[in-house]
Amino acid sequence: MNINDLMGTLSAGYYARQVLAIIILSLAGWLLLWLLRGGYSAFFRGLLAFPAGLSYFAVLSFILLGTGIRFSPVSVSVLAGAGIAIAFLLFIRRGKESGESCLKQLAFFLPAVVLGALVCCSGILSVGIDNDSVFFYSSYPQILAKEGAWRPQFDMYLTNVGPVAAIINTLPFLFGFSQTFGIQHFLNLNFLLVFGFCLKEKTESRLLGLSAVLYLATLPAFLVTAKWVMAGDYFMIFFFLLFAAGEEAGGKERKPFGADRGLSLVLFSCVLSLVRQEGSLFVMLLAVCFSALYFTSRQLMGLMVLPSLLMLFLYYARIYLILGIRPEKTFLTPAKASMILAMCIASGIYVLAVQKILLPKRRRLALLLPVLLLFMGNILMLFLNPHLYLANLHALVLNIWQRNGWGYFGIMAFLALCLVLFRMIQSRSIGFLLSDAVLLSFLLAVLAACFAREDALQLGIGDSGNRLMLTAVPMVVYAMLVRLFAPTDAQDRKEVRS
Amino acid sequence: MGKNSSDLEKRKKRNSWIIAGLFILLAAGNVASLPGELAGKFRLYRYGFHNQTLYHPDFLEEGRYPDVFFREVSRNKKVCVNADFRPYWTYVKDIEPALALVNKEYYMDNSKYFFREFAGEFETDPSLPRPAVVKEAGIKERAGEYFTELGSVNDMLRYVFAANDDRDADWSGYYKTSYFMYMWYYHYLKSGIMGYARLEDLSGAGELVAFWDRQENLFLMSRDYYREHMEEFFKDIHEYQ
Repeated sequence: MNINDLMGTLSAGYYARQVLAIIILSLAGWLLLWLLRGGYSAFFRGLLAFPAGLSYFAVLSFILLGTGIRFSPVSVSVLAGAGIAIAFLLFIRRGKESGESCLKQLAFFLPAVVLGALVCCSGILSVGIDNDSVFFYSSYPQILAKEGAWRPQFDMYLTNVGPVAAIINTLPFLFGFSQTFGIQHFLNLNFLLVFGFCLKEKTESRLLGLSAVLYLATLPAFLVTAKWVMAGDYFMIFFFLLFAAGEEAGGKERKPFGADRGLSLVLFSCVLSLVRQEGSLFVMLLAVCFSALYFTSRQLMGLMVLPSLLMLFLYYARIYLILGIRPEKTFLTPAKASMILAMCIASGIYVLAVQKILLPKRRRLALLLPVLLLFMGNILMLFLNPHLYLANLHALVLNIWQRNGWGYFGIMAFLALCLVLFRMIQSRSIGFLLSDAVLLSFLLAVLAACFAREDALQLGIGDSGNRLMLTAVPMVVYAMLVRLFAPTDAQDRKEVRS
Repeated sequence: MGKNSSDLEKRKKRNSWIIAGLFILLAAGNVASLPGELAGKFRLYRYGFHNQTLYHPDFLEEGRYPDVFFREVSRNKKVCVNADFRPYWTYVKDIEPALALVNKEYYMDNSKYFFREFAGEFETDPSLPRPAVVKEAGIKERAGEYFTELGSVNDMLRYVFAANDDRDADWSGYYKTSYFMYMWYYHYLKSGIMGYARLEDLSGAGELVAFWDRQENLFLMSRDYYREHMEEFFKDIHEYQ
């Protein structure tokens, strides 16, 4: 028998179930955001629906596993239903609001989701598979779904694999299909739409938004991460989503904050915190950059810092204190876990301090400070172990130069940077935007994370430092385009006057 | 002021069109360069609509990830094996520190635990041949005649978490998964252990049979195929009787 025919026979029903899973997650996310609406436009809510639904599933599953309650399709569904019921009660309490027709919005949203899911699950889009895809993100989640709990015998899987990434990959085994290719492709497609929308809003040019999406969607440096069945894609997407949600929510205009904004920030922070073991540091990086915006301390602490800390506490307590695991050779040792916790707590204190001391008068300094601190941190690492630090830097640069997954993006980014610098000199205006701060902080944080790994980075597309740096690509494209094309008040006034 | 505003708007629109055109050209360049960029560095698999599993046909050609095949095939079926399940510590032994990434080796007595963890249903059947019998019957030597070779199954032995019967017992400091991960897979103490399957009968079968030889080569087939074609090889062997 032909192997393809055999696998086709074995996978009867899998396609329909994966499509259905995407639809249900999208509807759940959409419903939550609609019930809690108040901040986002209907269109943006629609764009965030699937990531919100996927995050909702991941966070609820994490809570079940972290608290030792049996993790199963039934328990997740019950908890999800309870959450939606609470959102519904809040909605009722608020009273009827005009202008928002649920059915009318669904009439646009649902067909788009169904069509997208049908295409993404069809197998026409390719994927990258390697050992980690098979063992960390397929067989381990299968065992996790079967056991319904984190067990001590999972040992180093608990400390090497981001628990949220593993949880997302339990979806096939909970709901009766085999792989997450459709889910991953759908999330990629969703992300591209969010990316284009945010760029269009920022640059006030629909054309620019669309063409940038086309460029990103075909870029090898983006596709390597997007197609690879690993945690990297989820990390890349949720980092940008959290950035976009924060940038949108922390703007200057006085507006109702909206529970939908709050929920998005909480869900995306929770997912990003543990989609990779060091994810929480990147949540804090964003929170620290956002502290220069128009958030209140309560908002940043309550919607980003504390949810992320709670995720960490729950996970570390479960694996180290209750399960008592001590893997012999692993990425996340108890010492590193303690260090991550300490840095997150310090970031929380930083956020409070910045809000109290620097704002509202020194907003630009507040934006620059994280970059300066990370830069100083990198200098310190360079002094502590110059050989390791320089070897890592050398490997990263060489990977870009040798196009190990980067294609020609390195050259394009360099040319774009030259253009940005030229514009800055020409306009005699340095200006420092949120996207600049986030991008520079991200790059410096990646260098720091690579240093903390203790082993030197290697050349090759699969090296973990190289893969982590590749996740910066959408942020680089976004930051450069915003720099070059986003209208600024001063720039416009100057041009108008002349 | 009004005229300057309008000029600004026109300039912005013109710039947008130029940049959009540039992006479209770059996108075309991306598409053209993608196969060359990834060749030899990053393998992409296209599964098509028909195959919704994780096991791609190229894996069979390349002898890669046979455990994915065995997982997919056994997922909704019953698998029967003849195996003893001993406590994990009987599989741990000291080895030369110079050879080791960790100071103990976990010797996983074939991949029976794999099926216990991943099969839809699992049963021990003492009537099935033990490894010594399978070796004496020369099944490995005839494997090409009856089975399809799927590749090396060394990696299937990494499911060490499946190996412990005492799931709530005190672990006594043994770090099983990491021992296995770094000893068995990276250390290559054993040469390739192969996995074989009778592909033709698997899809319709509700019950499968798995057995191993002394080298831990794995053989998987339907119960009916075993009864009709394999059992006869073992009948004359004293140990089997």
